[in-house]
Amino acid sequence: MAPETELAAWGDFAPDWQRRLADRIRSGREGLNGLVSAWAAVLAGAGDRLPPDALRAAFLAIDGARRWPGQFLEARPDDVFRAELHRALPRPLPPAAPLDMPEQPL
Amino acid sequence: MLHLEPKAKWAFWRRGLMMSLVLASTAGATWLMGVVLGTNSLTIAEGAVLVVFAVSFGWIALSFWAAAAGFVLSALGRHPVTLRRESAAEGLVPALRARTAVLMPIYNEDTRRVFAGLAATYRSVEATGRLAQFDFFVLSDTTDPDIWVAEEAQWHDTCRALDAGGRLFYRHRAANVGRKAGNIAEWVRAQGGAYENMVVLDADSVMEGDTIVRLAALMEANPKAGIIQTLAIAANRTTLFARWLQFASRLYGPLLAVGHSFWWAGEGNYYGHNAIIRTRAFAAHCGLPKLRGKAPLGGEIMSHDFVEAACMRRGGWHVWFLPELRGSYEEIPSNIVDYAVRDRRWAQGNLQHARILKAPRLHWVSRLHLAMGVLAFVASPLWLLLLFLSSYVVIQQALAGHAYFLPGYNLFPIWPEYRPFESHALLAITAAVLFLPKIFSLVLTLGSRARRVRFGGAGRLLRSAVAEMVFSLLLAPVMMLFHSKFVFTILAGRSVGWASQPRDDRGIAWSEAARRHTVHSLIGLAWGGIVYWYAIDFLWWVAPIVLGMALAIPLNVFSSRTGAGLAMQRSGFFWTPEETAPSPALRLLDEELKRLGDRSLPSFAQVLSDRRLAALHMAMLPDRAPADHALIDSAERAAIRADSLEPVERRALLGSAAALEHAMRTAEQRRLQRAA
Repeated sequence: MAPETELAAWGDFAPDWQRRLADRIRSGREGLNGLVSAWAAVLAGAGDRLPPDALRAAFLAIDGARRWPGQFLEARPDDVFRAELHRALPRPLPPAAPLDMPEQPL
Repeated sequence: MLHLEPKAKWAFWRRGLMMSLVLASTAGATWLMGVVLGTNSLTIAEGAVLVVFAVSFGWIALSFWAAAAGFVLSALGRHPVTLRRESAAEGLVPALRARTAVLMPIYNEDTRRVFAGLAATYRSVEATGRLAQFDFFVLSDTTDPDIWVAEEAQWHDTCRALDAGGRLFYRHRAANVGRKAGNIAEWVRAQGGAYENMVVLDADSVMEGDTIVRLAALMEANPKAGIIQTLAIAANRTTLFARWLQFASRLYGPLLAVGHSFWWAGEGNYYGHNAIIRTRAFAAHCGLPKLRGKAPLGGEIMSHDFVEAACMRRGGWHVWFLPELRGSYEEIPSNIVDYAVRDRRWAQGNLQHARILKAPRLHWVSRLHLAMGVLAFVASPLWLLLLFLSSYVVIQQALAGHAYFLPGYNLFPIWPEYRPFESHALLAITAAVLFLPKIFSLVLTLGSRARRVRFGGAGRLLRSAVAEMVFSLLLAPVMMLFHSKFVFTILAGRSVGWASQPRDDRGIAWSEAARRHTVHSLIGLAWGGIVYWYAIDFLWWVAPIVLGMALAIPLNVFSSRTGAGLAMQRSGFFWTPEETAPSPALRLLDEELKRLGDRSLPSFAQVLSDRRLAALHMAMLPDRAPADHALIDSAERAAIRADSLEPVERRALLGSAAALEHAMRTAEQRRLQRAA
């Protein structure tokens, strides 16, 4: 898939930003998925995990492609951007903490 | 902090007192009835009247004595459990050690109302400064694809608005196995280990943060408490019917609740929401099985709450009911039809309890709760039978006249005998049992300036109470007919589902009212006509009953109108403390409803065209399995025309990340082809 098409899934970047990002994706070996994984690891911080789907949902929610194009895939993201992105991260459930719930005789 | 557990051992004496009073008053009234009926020996019909009267009187006598106990305790300012001058609602907001989850199970509900209520509760907890000890979960069993998409979007917006990411969670179940009980059980099995307690809300619940924090603190102070139930106050509706019901439950409910709390002690009941539950105890003892056989009396347990309370008690945990904990709200159906539809579901659930009565090792008070749940609906056909039999006896006497001589040789005639003293005493006792609890509440409210003012002052309170009584008299026979029909149809094997309750102010059209009540009105008119024709003296006795039935259609239509409710409000009728001085959580709810009121909610079709919605939905999906042929077919049809899919196909498509991605890719390709 062309990098431009892949990038479209992250929002409507301005043409110059799109060109720049597409060139970066083309020049790298790992493609967009690999760059996103590395970016997610940076944004998550040590010992944490940030699923790429959740990251994309948050980036789209804050309209990152228009408002923060320079932060996309950035190795040292801005603190304000990071805070806004974290605020928009969908975190549907905390880690599982199972309990046994046996059926009772009635 | 209130220590409840030492008082559990006194429950035997409290129940002994209550049961003695109920049995003695029932025996006395039944004896009087026997004297009145049997002055000239008892016929078979009169014997049947006597039996039905005894059961029905016992039922109302229990409520009467509970209200009397509530009156005495409230007048003396004593706590119903500890009997001391103390209250769980007083004192500083306590510090908490344990973590508590606040759960809101939902099923195809009004999305705006769900998240407005949850946001109000969240903000209220935040205002206590104890938010760190709480997490909030929306547990969705929604099957409507449009509502599912709207819920996700609204959840995400709410998380962002409240900065509640990582504290306010959302989980959607693909199939609502076990209904609400199954929904909560699934959460307990997956997440329950991280939380000492869970506060269960209903889709229309709102609770004050202060109350939730106090509940959690009470669980810490009373380590054998398994469930603590609050008294949920009905609020926020504006139709005449709803405002009448809100007024009645607000004025009369707390007194009865105090009385019940007194004699239930640690063997209280659970009403399914606005309560705190010890998670591990619930997991260990409240896993509900399916009942043998098919619905309506078999299958999944519909009214799970009573059964869970009984199981919790069987496991050695106490179940407390603390009505002094205010700030616990719910909403009620806005018209007679929706109220009856809700009762139809409850009737089915409660009648199922007849099969659980003999479950092993239940506490006898738990069995009594279950039996009372059954009787709550069976009482209606009993009352109906009693009224029909009474009319029959009177008409028979009017037609046949008095039999002065029995068959065969009689030396002396049997003179007609009347017992006016006993008749009037019986009438007075029955009226007292029915109306004194209301008067107790009125006296208590009028006696306190603060309480009086919250109901709009003495004048408004008194005329509202009179109007409430008239309205109750008119509604009671209609509900009696509804409940009687429900009981017969359930026993005949007809089941109903558990659809979501309409949670807005819904007006009833004349055509719908006519469809629901024509039979009721005909019964009332026929009954009144027969009594008028054969025993006109008896007409006054049945007049309130037949009048309620005859007027059912206009009563339903008129009372379902918001305009009528607001007009009565302007005229000073049915004011409640929730209207005159809404609590902080209710004000927050109002704010949230206004904030969300003009926002449009997304639907299924938008997921395919809106990247933002699609990304959010994909991030929420646990299912990453490859899509099968049927799903791919649905995806391709959805890419062409989303509305060509059946609801079940839409739901399946939303549940599969692979199929949804395929649909979006196909839609994008089509768009590019068209553009080219």
